[in-house]
Amino acid sequence: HILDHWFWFLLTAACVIWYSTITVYVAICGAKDIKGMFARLADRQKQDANTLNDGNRYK
Amino acid sequence: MTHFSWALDGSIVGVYLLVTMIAGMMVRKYVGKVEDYLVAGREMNVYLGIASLAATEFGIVTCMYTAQNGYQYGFAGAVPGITNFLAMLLVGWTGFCIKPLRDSGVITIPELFEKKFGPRIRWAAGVVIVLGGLLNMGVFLRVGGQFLVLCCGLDNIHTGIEFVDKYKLELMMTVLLAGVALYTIMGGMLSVLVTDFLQFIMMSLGLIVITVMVLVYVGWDKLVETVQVHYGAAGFNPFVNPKMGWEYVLFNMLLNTAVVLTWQTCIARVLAAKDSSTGRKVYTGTSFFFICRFLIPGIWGIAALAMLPAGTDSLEAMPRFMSTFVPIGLMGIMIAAMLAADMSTDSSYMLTWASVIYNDILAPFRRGKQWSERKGLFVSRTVVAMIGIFLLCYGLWYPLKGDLWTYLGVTGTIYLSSMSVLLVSCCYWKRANSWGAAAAIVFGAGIPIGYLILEQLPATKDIAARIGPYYSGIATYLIVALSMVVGSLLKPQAEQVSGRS
Repeated sequence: HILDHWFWFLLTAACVIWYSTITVYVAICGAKDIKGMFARLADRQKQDANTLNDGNRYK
Repeated sequence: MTHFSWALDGSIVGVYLLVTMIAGMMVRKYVGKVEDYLVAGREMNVYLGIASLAATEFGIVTCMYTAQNGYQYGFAGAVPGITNFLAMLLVGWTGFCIKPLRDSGVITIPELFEKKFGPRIRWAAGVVIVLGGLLNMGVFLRVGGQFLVLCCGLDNIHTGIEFVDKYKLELMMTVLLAGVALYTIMGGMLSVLVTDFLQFIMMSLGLIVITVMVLVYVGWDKLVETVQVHYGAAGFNPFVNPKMGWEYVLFNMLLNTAVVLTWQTCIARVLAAKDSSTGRKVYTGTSFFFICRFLIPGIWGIAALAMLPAGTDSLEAMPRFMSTFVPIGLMGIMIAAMLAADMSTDSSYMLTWASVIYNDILAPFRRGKQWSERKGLFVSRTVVAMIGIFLLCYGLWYPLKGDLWTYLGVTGTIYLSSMSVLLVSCCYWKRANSWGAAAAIVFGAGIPIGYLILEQLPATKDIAARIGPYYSGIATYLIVALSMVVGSLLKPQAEQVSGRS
């Protein structure tokens, strides 16, 4: 049957290799994602503040 | 005797906790709106999403029951991980349900239901989701505490203060939960994402290092031989295992498809993603992790079976084995990894159920007058704090009776069957309406609770044992789907046209 110890051996090897690779990849690219996310949020907060100031000036 | 050194390992754990707390608190200045708080302003990108989803769905409780599966069933115990991988890969690849869900711009699943089924169904779905979710999460703290006490050897340390010695586990987990609650209350999803990222790195480091150690020092041949001696072919193949069979595999396929589609902590990552394409990539990218999630601790459980004397409690076997197997120094990394796994799970779960309470259960109170962002944030934060208090009271100071996996399965099924049927119908069946939705919610909650009662009553215990949890679970999904179809077809068409469906 396909579900013998060789199947589980190959799956375990795949897990260790994939998990090690994705951890390194996510560590590098995830840090960039966080940087980008906060840059966009800061921009949005600045825009919201400007809109509020424009509204107050008009009033 | 545990290998945990309070000087070296304790320092590693302390530094990790300090860094996490500082990072979690630093991002609170970016929370300006309720949307920032609940879905991170929908600014989450792919790799941050993968880290967050993986960290959220792997807690100490996960490690404990997957290791218990390995200890009790051998390699065949990792089958739910394979079905979870297949379900997540297919849903991510096709966009089934998650594409229309993310494109709709909702914050929670019940909010989408209101568009199709009306406000009452939205409210009822919110209640079912929160009930199932909170009861499910209720055992996380205690199980996490048990693991840490066994690994750190806390049960052998005496301070001389009677109260502290008696309630060591409770006090340790209370302090841990207070820390997690603090940054979750202040920063919401933004804090959760940043700390999840750090916790994913720490958790992965620990899991990989310990697994390689097990494979090197216990050895693959010894693991295979142990499974062969204890379980024979049934330890490798679920189809020939008398306790599993095809019904076990089919039930897990249905259960994991429902989890991928509607478990709110998974879906929260799709809803926080920049767009539906990003959400789908997060799912496909994380899918293989769900095999690792079952197989890696499963191997630890098999190693415990190989090295410990027979008759060890199956839930405690893995932490007992780890406490003597992992050397000083690496023990600190493992404890920090497990704390990381648990903190990321607790913070995400607290925020997720709070978002359903705020967005759906409290929705009727916002109908007359729109709440300001400030009031919305205050209410959301208060709800997170109240969930933290509930967890302490229910999960820590109230001991669980009975089997852990059964408890998790039953509390999860109460909501998974009905919500998955509602979501599929909502996205793809025009004729679906509130009658069908109401019937699905009633049957979805009624059948698992009914089965649980059958199991408990002495007169009906044998009937429940003959049916078994897997046939009962499969029947639940089929009956809920049927009730959605029948209920929807029974509702007069004219009523649907005149009002909301």
